[in-house]
Formats: sequence, structure tokens, C-alpha cells
Amino acid sequence: MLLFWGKEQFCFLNDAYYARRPVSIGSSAVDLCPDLVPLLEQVLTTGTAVQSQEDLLGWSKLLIPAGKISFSYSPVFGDTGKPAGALVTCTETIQAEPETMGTGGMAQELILDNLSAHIAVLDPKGNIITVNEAWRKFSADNGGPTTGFVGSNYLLICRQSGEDEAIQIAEGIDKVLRGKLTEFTLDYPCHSPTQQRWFRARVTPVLADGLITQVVVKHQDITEKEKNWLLTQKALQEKQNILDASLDMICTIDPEGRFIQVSRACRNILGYDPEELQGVTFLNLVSKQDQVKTIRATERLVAGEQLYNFENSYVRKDGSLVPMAWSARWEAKEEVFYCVARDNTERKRIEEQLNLQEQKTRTILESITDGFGVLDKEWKITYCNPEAERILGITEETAVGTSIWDIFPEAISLKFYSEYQRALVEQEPVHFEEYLPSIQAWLEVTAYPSEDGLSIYFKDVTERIKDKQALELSEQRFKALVQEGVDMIGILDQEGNVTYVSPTIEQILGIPVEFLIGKNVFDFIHEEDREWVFQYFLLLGSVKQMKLDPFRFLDAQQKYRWIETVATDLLDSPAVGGIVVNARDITQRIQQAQEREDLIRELTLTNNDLRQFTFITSHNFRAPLSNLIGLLDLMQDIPVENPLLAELITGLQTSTNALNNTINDLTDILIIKSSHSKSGEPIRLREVFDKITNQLSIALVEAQADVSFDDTQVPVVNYDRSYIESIFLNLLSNSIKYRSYDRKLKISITTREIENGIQLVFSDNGIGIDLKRYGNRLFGLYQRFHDRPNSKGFGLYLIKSQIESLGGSIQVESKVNEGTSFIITFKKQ
Amino acid sequence: MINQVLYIDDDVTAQLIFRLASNKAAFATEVHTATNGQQALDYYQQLAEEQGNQSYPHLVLLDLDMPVMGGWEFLDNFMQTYYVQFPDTRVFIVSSTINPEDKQKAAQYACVLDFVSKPITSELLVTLSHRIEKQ
Repeated sequence: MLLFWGKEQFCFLNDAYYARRPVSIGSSAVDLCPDLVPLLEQVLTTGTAVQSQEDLLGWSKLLIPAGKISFSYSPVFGDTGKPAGALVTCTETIQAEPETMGTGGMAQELILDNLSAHIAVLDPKGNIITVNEAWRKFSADNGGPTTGFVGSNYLLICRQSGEDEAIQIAEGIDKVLRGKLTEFTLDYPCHSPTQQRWFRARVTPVLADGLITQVVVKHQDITEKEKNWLLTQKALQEKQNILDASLDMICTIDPEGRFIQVSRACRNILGYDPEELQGVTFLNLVSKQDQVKTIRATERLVAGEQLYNFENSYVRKDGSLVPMAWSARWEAKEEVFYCVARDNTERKRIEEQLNLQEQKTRTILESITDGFGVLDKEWKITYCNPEAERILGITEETAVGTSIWDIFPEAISLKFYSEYQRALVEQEPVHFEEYLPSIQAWLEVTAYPSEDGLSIYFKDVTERIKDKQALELSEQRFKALVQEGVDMIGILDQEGNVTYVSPTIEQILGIPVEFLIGKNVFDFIHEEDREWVFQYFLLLGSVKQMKLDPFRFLDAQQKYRWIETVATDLLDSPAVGGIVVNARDITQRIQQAQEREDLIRELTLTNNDLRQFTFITSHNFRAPLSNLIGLLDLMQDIPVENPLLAELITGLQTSTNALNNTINDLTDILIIKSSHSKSGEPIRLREVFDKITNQLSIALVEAQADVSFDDTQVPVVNYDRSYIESIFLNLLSNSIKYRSYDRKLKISITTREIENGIQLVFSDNGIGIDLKRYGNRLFGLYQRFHDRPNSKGFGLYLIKSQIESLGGSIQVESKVNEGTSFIITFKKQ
Repeated sequence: MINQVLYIDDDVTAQLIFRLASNKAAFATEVHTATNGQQALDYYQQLAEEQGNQSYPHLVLLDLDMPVMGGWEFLDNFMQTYYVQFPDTRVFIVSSTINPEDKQKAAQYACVLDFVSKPITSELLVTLSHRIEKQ
């Protein structure tokens, strides 16, 4: 027999059923025996019983041959009087049919008997119509009657018992009967002498055609339930005790911010009893300065956030402040804040101590000369000291909280990342050097892993690295020099024995390296040079480095080559431990210099010879010429009567004079050319000008010359006086000589200062000269371009010689028939 | 007018010219000549030997380039041997040389007054006599 409640759940099954098919109460009919569902629905809607031979439960096939069992489905009416369930009775047809398949009332009784609740059915007057087996049993167990229930008035029994609960039940039944209550329920204790028991009385009407025809009174043992509830209560109490035992203040707060319940810890923390705080608005206890942030925190809570270690301070009952740390949660369904608060005093104190400690550490860190920084496990900078700021070009303010890879993204691909990662993973300190491009610096880094991340010490070692690189570079260069250079490099011991020699020696001197190793260098030096070279060699030690004059060294062909050497004493250097000799074959240079010297000596001799020759020649020219002049001079006093003779004598005189002039001119030039730089003296140009214009006064007047002279820029020059006079004389007389007959002669002489020199400019408006045609010959000896009186072609040659002998220069600018300018440049002294 | 003049020159024509010019300019009362340094030294040797003779040429005109003994050699010997005995001797070097070294060298001798260029003319002698008188 089993009972469905609703159409789905088994709510009851008897042992007989269970023996055949063990199913658990609460299983779903839909799952268990889907075929049954339509029939159940039919019974539940019509309220009439159905019989069937068909096995819709799906179990008979397994156990009992088909057709040997019959099924009946009877409706069971619920508290509302409507069919609420169906009782299924499976009867093996082998057994007596009439007993099992009795009346509907029998069946109902059977059902009721099998229910554990004590059930009585009353008529509208309260008379008991029927009771079930449980009822009877309970009565018997409690010393009551076992029979005779039917017919007695339950209302009366209840009222006569004098027990409060019974009277209440009687009134409940009465109300249900009269339709004032659709249902009545009462939980009541009914303790027996041996055990505590609780019952639930439940009164439900049975309706027929809208009228209450019967009521069902059901007493159900709810001891278990009640015990559970009590246990729960007890547990809650225990919990409260636990809560109260907690040092933390645990409380609930309503949406308006009032304490609902507060654990006992508030006594210690705030000085209030829990009861005092109930209903108090918590914000009133918060210290003024923390109220705003506390309100904010509350808003965050309501928004769904959880609060951990939110710190504020409360005003204690005695008025003092207490720092508190809160963890809280808003329970939206219950509209309650669950909060746990801790007295934060101790923690604050420890924190302060820590802060102090940290401050000390910080001071130390900030004063250390290394850069120092701390990273958390997410690479975020949590600290960096001033040196780190300086090296990295960051500020702690902006850097803290930022990932170093955000600040130095380029470092990810460098050692920085891999090494830090390694330090974190292996929990071992790492040490490395790496270049950080964004700050253009080499850093030497040591990183120590810690629980929170990494502590990093670093130094800017750019200078050291640069030095190292420079050294490497110079080593490379040295190698290149040794192996490919034109220099030979050797290392000698203190006696001059070769311990090393560069391969270049093979190319230069043709001597194989192996041949020279172990040999003494002095055996290769020319005997004439050996002694002095050796003397110098001995000096090494007191002199660390010396350059030796060229000496001769024997090459593979047994020929001496001139070599120039620099010897450096590196005996003390552990890397070398010898005397480093850097030698270069300068044979060619020496030979060339020798040749040049020979040539110069030869030329000087020749030149001197020539000079002497010139003097002698000149003297030998001049001596007879002087005599000629002297004789002609003496002849002047003697009257000549023969006209032809007179004419001959005149011719003789003219020729002699011309020869004399030529000889004198050449002599002048010779003297200028052979004289070594004459020393200058300060000369007033105005004086020279005056003197020369005075000398030329007649000619100047004759030419109606207008001569201007401007010496404002350079009044004085350092020069040879006779040369200056010669320059003025020749250029002025040239201007007169080569003036234009069509216009009045104008001569201007000006001076000016230029960079590194002084210029003297003679300009005239004379006939000029065709420079294209004559330019290259203008300053030549005896070059004449115009047929003018006294034109010898000597003056310009002379002054050019004079100017150049003192390191000056002369240029000419001219246009035919417009004029000529001579620009003389003197070196500034 | 200068009393005695010694003209030392190997050039006979030059000697002639000097004599004529000297006459013309009334330069000296007595003109002695020598054709080289050695002859001139011989002349001084003779003078020195003639005891009591206080008269000697106060002016010497000296050519430099001469055979046997040149002008410089003569000067050296003269200064060494005879200058003490004939301290009033003044010398003009008369030469056609253009070698500047000669002029520098001339300045080293105390008795040498100047360097004059040939030819010797009466005008030159007049100038010279003025310079000697000024001394």
C-alpha cells in the first residue's frame, strides 16, 4: 500500500510494499512510474476510486505474474476536503478478496490506521465518528481508554480536561465547525512522565457540497521537530555566547544605521553594555573626523562591496577615542549590516612602531649611495630611494604603484626582466650588469627576493663600463696594430733578449719571428750605434718611456735599416713584464733626408761660389769703369779743338755713363737679393712722402700733379728706410713718367690696415697698362711697355725685390687710359 | 791742404787719375803711391828706420783687391806694427767692391774713417778734405 500526495510524491508506503520494492519517501511518481500519472490525475480530479488489474506501478512484472494482482486507487481528501492524494492498494488476488476489497469505509479506515498521526473524524457536533489506530494506541499508552471513542463528544472531552491547550483545541474545532476558521493549528507540549513530547493539533473540515460535514482532528507528534527547534535555539544561544566570548565586537545594524544586536565585546571596546547600544545610531559614536569616510564606507557596503579592515575611531562611553577596524557586509535580503569590529589600539601601536622602524629603514635607505627600490609581486614599485630617483630619472611620488615595465618597457627584453623573474622564481639573489637605453646608463644590479617581491640595489656604472669598453677597443686596436700595422712591436727582457715580436717584422725586416725570439737585439744593431743605444737602454727603469734617435738594424739581407723606436718600461706590469719596443723602419725617410741635406749643402756652396763670383766680376767691371769715368771727368777741363774729337769724347762719356748705370742697378739688385732679411725700424710714412715729393718737386710741378696722401690709418710702419724710400720714389716717378698728357695728373697714396698686414696703395689716373698683355712681365727686369723718356724697366723689378725680401707683396690693378693702382702689403710686425 | 797722402792701388790708371784729381783739387802737397800692401809696408818700414823723421802721411787711400798683399792684410800688419809709431794715420778705403761684408769689416779698424767708391774725382777729394779737417 502506498500513498501518493498530490500526483507526484510518495508520502507513505507500508512494509508490505517496501518489502517488494524499496523506494524512498518523497520520490517522484513521474520518475518512478510514469504510466500511473494519468490514472492519478483522474482520481485526483474526480475524487472517485478506480480499480484496475493493470500494473501501472511497473514492479509486478518482476515479482508477481501478471493478472495475479489487483490495484485499487482511492482518493484521499486533504485538509481542504478536496482530493489531495491517492491511496494505491496492491492486492495479490490469491488472497481473500472480500477482506481486502471491502467497503470504501473499510478502505478509509485502513488508510487512517496506517497513518502515524492520531486522527479522529468528528461530526458537526463534535462527536467522534472514527479514530485511527494511532489514536487508540496513544490513548492506551497514556493510560486512556482503548475503545469507546466513537460517539463521545471530543469538544466536551477537551473542555473537561481543564488543560489550556485542550480548551484551545476545543475552541479551534468549534470555530472550524462553524466555518469561522478554515483550519486550526496548535503546537503544544504533552510531556509524559518519561519523555518530553510536543504535538501539533490540526483541525481541518471535510466539505460535502459546500457544507462542513465532518472535521478531521489530527494530533501529530512533532517532538523531533520541536527538539530540533530547541536545539537550534540552544545553538543560537551558544553562538551568541561564542559571539559574546569573542574579543571582537560583532553586531548587526539596521538600514537606518541603528544597532540591532551587539556582542558583549562592546563593553571592553566602547564601554557600553550591548543593551545600551541597541537602537543607537552607530554614526553618533564615530569620531567627528572619521564620520565622512565612515558614511562613504557605508555607501560602498550598500553598493555590494565588502569591507575589510576599514579603520575609524569611536568615542567610548568615557569620551576617549578608540581606533577600530571594521569588516562588514550588507545583507540585502535581510536588510541588515553584519559587522565585526576590532579594537585597533594595539595594532595601531604596532603599526606606529613599524612606521617608526620603517622610517628608520627609510632614512638608512635614503642615505645609501646605491639606488634602492622595492617591487611587489606584480612588479609595482612600492619604494625607491632618492639615489634611485636620480639614476632612473623618476620620482617616488609618481613611480610608486606603477609597474616598472610600464616605466621602462624596453627593459622587458633586457636582462632586467629575465633576472628579476629568476630571482622571484628561484628565490635566490641575482646580480647582473645591463644597459638601460632610456637613461643611457649601465646599471649594476643586485636583486634580493623577499616575501613581498624584490628588493633591488643598483649603481650607475656607466663610467666603469665605458672605461672597460675603451680598454677593449684599445686592445683591439693594439692587436690590429701589432698584426697589420707598419710598426714592429717587440718585448725585451732586461738584457735586451727578445721575448716577443710582432709578425710585422717579417714583412718589414724579412726576419722570421721564431728566428728573433731569444736573440739579443744588440747583436743586430750597427756597431757604431750599439754603444749609445745600449746607454739609453740602461736608462730605462728610471725613465719609463723614451724615444730613441734612429739607429741601424740588421735585416735579413744583412743590410742595415734605419729604425726609429719608442721603448717603454713595462717590467713591473704583470701583463707584460718586459720592455715594450715600438719600432718603425724609416730607412727611406733617413735616406731622403740625407739626400736632401747633401743637396742643400751642395746648393749652398754653389750659391756662395756664385756670389763671390758676382762680387769679383762686379769689382772687375767696376774698377776699369771707374777709371773711365775718372778720366772723362778730368778731360772735361781740357779744351778740345777738334770738333770730331769733341763728338767722340761726348759719345764715350754717354756710353760710359750708361754702362755705369747698368752696373749700379745690377749691383743694387745683387745686394738686395743676397742680403738676409734686413731688420726693420719704425718709419713715419709722412716723412718719407715729404722727402720724396721734395726730391721730385720739379717733375711734379712740371706735370701739374695733384698728390694726396692719407696716412691716418697707418702712420708708422716697421721697415727698411731705404726700401720704403725706393718704393715711394719709383712709384711716384712712374706715375709722373706714365701720366696721361690729356689730363692733369692725380696721385693718391693711402694706407689701410688689413688682417695680419698693412697696405700702402698708390693710385694714379695715368695711361695705365694692358695687364692682359703685359701683366706677367710687369715686374720683370728690364721690361718696358711704353716709350717714355727714362724708361728703363728697372724700377718695378727693384721695388718688387725690395718688398719681397722683407716678406711683403705687391699687386697691380690697371685699366688702359684710366689709371693704375699698386697695392703693397707689408707683414704686420 | 793735406801734407802727405799715401795712395795704395795696383791699378796704374787709378793712380794716374788720383794724381791728376789731387792736383786739380789741391788735395795734398805730397802723394806717395804703392801698388800693393807689401810695398806700402816696405814704405813704412823705411820711414820707421829713418830716425828723427817726424813727417809721415796722415792720410792713406787704400784699395782692397791687390796682388801680393791685399788691403785687409796690409791693414792688419800696419795696425800691429806701425800704428803706434804713426798714430795720426787715417785711412779711407777706396774700392770698387760691392761685397757688403767688406764695409762691415772696415768698421772694425779704428783708423779707418770710411769706405769710398771709385772713381776718385776732384769733387770727392774736396769732400774728403772737409771731413778730415773736421776731425
